[in-house]
Amino acid sequence: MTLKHILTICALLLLAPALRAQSGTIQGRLTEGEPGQEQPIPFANVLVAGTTVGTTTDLDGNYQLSVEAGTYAVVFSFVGFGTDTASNVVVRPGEITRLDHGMGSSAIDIEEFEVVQKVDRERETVLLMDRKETTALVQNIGAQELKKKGANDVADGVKKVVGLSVVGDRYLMVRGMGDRYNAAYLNGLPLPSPDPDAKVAPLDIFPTAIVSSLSVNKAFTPELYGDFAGGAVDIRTKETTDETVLRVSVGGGLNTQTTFKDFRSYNGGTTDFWGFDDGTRDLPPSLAGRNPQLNSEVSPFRKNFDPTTGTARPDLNFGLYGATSFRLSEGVKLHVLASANYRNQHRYRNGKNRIMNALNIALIDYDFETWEFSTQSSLLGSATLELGKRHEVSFTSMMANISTDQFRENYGYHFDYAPDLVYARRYTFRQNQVRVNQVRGNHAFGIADRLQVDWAASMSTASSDEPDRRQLVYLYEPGAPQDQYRFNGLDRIENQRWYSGLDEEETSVHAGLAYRVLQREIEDDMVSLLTVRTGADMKSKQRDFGYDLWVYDLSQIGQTYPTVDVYTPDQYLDNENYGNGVYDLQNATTPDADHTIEQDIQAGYFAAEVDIIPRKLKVLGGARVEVGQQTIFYRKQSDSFFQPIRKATIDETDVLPYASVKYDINEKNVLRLSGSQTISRPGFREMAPFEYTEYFAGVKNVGNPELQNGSVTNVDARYEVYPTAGELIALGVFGKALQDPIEKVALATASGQLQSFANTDKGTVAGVELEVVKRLSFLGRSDSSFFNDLSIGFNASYLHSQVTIDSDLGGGDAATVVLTNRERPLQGASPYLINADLSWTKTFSDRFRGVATVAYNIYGKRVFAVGANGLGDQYEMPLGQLNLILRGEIGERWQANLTFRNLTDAQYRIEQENREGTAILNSYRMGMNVSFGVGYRIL
Amino acid sequence: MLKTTTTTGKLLLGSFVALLAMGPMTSCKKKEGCTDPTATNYDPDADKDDGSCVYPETGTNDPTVSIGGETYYVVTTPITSNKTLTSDKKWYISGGVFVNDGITLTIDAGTEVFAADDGTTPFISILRGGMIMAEGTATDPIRLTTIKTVTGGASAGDWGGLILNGRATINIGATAEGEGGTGTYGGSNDSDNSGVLRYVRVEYAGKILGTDNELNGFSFNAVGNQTVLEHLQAYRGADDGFEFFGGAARLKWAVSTGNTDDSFDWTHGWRGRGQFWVVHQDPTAGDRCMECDNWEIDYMVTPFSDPMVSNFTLVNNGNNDAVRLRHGTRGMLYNGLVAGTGAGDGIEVSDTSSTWMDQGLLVVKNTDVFNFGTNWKNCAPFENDATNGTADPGLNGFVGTATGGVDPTTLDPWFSAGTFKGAVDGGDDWTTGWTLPL
Repeated sequence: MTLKHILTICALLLLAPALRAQSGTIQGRLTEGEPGQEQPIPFANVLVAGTTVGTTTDLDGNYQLSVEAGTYAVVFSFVGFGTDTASNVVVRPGEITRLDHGMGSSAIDIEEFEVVQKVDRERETVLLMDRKETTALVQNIGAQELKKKGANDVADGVKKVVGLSVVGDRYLMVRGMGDRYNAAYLNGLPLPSPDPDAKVAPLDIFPTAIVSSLSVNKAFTPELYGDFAGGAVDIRTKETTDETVLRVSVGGGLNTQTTFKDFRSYNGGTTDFWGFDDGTRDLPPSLAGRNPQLNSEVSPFRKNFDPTTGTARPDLNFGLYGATSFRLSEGVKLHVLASANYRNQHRYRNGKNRIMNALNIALIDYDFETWEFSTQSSLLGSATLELGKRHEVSFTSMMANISTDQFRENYGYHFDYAPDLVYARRYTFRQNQVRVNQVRGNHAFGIADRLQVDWAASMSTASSDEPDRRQLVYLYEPGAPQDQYRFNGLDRIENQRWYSGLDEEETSVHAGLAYRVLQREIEDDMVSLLTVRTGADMKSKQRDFGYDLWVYDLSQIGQTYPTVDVYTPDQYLDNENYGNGVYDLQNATTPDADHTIEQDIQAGYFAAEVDIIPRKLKVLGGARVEVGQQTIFYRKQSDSFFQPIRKATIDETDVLPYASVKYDINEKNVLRLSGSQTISRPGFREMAPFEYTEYFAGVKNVGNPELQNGSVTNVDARYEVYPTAGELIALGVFGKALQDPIEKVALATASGQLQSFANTDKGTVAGVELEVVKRLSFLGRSDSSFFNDLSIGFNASYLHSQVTIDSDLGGGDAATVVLTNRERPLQGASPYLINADLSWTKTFSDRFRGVATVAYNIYGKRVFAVGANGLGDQYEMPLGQLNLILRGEIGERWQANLTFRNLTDAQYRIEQENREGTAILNSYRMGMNVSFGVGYRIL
Repeated sequence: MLKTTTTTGKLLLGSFVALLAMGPMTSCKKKEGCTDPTATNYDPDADKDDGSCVYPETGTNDPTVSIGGETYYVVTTPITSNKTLTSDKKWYISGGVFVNDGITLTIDAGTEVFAADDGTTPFISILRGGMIMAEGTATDPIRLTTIKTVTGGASAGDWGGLILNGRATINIGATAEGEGGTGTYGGSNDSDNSGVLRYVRVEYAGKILGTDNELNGFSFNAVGNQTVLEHLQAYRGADDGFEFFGGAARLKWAVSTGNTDDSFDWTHGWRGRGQFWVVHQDPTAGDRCMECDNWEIDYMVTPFSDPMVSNFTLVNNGNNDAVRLRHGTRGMLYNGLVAGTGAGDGIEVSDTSSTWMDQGLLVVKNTDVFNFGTNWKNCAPFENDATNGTADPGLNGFVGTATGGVDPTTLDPWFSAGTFKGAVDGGDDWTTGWTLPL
């Protein structure tokens, strides 16, 4: 009759007070038999004495119970074994008490506890517990699940959450709501964005290797910034533990249409492999400033237009992770953690690129090929000082860097050059970086932690650089060999070099407290009757953007070189020809090239949480007051430097109310209701009336200084069933009413296409979401080990969205709005999103445990771009992705994985529904990826 | 142990209070100053206006710049009260100079306006309702050019050009935004009047504005037919020489010399008139002599481009077609001489415009197209019309005519009478004195 295992896993709950729970968890496994030969006891009853809390063990003998914090006796009973009781089981708020038990042992007294490990928020089961307890509408996805589903970065990861999708690998969509309605946080603090067009940082910049979990909040709570109506993604970085760990991993990968095949590139810098330009692509120093003068003899530019061809190497990745902790004195511990990761990939694509007119006749019909080398690297360092159980201070420093180096060719028909054809090459190197430094603290005071205080501050920077993007365009007669092409000397802008840089700095501060105003002792536990939460936030950011554009005037070069070899263009664009006037260089940078944006937000919030029926019915209410000011300093392209710089400002104070109800029908069923009012601020560039293109040759955009904040009313209801630990069935409905939403509109213009932004009349979004996480043991007989090892995850959302563009917009002193459809779904909103996965977890032996997962996701057809002038709206067609992920743990130290991504290699397609028919504007395949990796734990 | 914790707690509580205090601190930084960007003392850091703004006075004390020892008077923008540029001063523009609704900009004969080489894209834009009265003479033309004609190295694309925005009808929407934010144009008054341009020469225009716009020498955006446009030269621009964006503008005696894109271009429903048009392309650069569209996005939008042009001489030295009628344009072209060099086609008709030609809604008559070989035509109604041919009249540059024309006054009284083909009669060379040669 000996106690076999008694482990207590305890933790302090970090993060927002919203997540603070008063209850804890008892978790364990019930077995019988001699040590070393234990057999699980399924279907045994587990009861917490003196309460109604109870459960049965699963097929593996595992069980999990959630109870309010306190000291309990746990009673195990099973036919043939009688009853065993474990007494003095202490459960602390937010902690997991591990209680394994071998039946047949006598009554057990647990006298001693040891904090061995903090709650592991990388695990699905733990995150589901969090989700059940929290009062917010939160969905979490942990590192364990990210690995299981084969996600390499956060963009990949969030797609697994119900109602979330990512457009163009960059822009987060939550419930059909685009970038402007979403927010990204890192450990609860706002994150800057390196993307000039996006408020939310592109999520592919964060590798999953530094992520402990992703938490998506889809309903407003007063702790969140109010510029929000879709979702707030909080990326939680790796947490410190008591364990000492040192782990290395290395892996590689193949793409079926790239690896070991010809790979085109050009002569870049020496550090491109690491994702950093070594200065090779810098703007020549002589061209600095806003009106540089050229030397008429010597071109300032390097000769680097000649393409090169090599062989695509396999993809490579490696990582290092280390963590340890020190006991400084009694109760004072220092945990430290460091992680470094690198990943690269080579990708080739080919496909079609078309621009149609309203009659469905192609104006441009190109084939394209791209060869792209991309890298993703990150460094994470974190230190946590634990001062007893009630005080903790953490410092986190993180850097993430992604680079893409793309060689692109477009060739084919262009209406303006026909019957000649076009052959264009563009080299684009882009580097995005985010650097974050945070310090955070959590403190508890009073009896049973009556007062809880948290504070945090961060200083972050983000940058995006596109140095020396260059492009040459040739014309040729159909069928001509490539040494009989000629330069396109007609349009200078086609032959160009572009340098752009964006820098953003953001400082944010948060402080909050939660205090149990009224409490009552129930069964030795302090239960809140009224808790208030209050706090303040401040965020201040500045963003600077600038570009330089140089064009080649090749209008005379045809005299000297009637035909040219497109594989060696540098021989024509050399100093001698420049000096002799065979070609010329011109600065095409206009005064709108630079702008600066400042945003200052100060906020305070107050919320009260009333337990109408303790442990059963909670009502929450509160409000956030936000004083927001955003200003852009800019020039129009037509401005003179004799004019002072222009400025557009939005200055607004908003009161954002919120209310929610959480009803714990019983231990397994939870009902939640929530309602709130939030705002949406215009994007920075959307309010400045200068023209810009989001990408080269893209549609021109011009900002609108008349823009005002839009407002959104949100309602949510969700019913959740937690059958057993690690299982969930949830059904949610939501609705949003958008007042004065900011939408893209198309304006009549003299050349090309011009878009602007306007507060339109209204929009509505409504939808249903279903989530299922379930083991499949019920399918088989109790001894069917196959079904016992299977589990499924499934989530789907159905969404209806509609926005109406006012008919009285535009005209008068402004250009006419020429949108083809004035009623349409929100841009980027898919009517349906489906994620499904099936996992088979098998313990083959003591030394080998494996997981095989098949994961599939698909999005419904969504508006990619809005049509104008009789041209239809453009739709991204449904694209499904099927992945197979195999992971194995060998012994204590080795881990291996083999992943097949995009097994079906479906075709990506954009279609346009025009008056005279439907056209495919863009189509390509990405190929299947096979990757493999091994990890070894040194310590 | 307990003590340590408590002390630390107090410390942390202290910093928490300090952090809370930072909110109000940041809101105290509001700075007072002039917040109006049009004022001369505008302060970008000011958050609150203190009434200190000082505004530039237009017309009286023009700022000056000195270049090469010469004083230039800066034309400040926008022009909000009537203003005259006199010929006794040299004028200088930087960035876009806008003439507001209800305001008249007068430019005296013989006046020279120089566009800055300062990293901006200078241009002059007459906004809807604004007027330009630029009346030069054959001996004292008005010259709009780049400062680099003084400082050296003048070349195509040095500055923006001249833009007239009117309230006549266009077909791409009731109103539209000009290239690169040069003004809104369009309306419903085809008899709109933007003023008078006589003997005006625009040199080295076509600068890039924004990331993918180039400005033309002369842009006539929805300009109405009461505007007088006579004796104009677009000289060595990097984009089009003359472009009509809808409207009903009428242009007589126009020379498009050495422009590297199209020499004349119409689109978006232009329904005006043209007579005595000369194109002289550079032997090494230049796209089409005439590029004529309804609208590439939708060939069927109305009103259709449907002008009448008589007496044109096109010296097509570039690589492309001399005349391209496409994307649904209609219209009537008479009395043309189209000279080729062997490359490109003579008269090329495509898309719905071919249908219009078959139906007689697009007409090219009394026109000689020579030195193009078999590429002189691609449309049967044009080829089979007995008034058209391939005879070479033996031009001297662009000077010279051929017989066999139709008197255009029988088509519209706006035209000047004559029965010859071509724009410039050797006995009456209206281009001498005020135009620059290629």
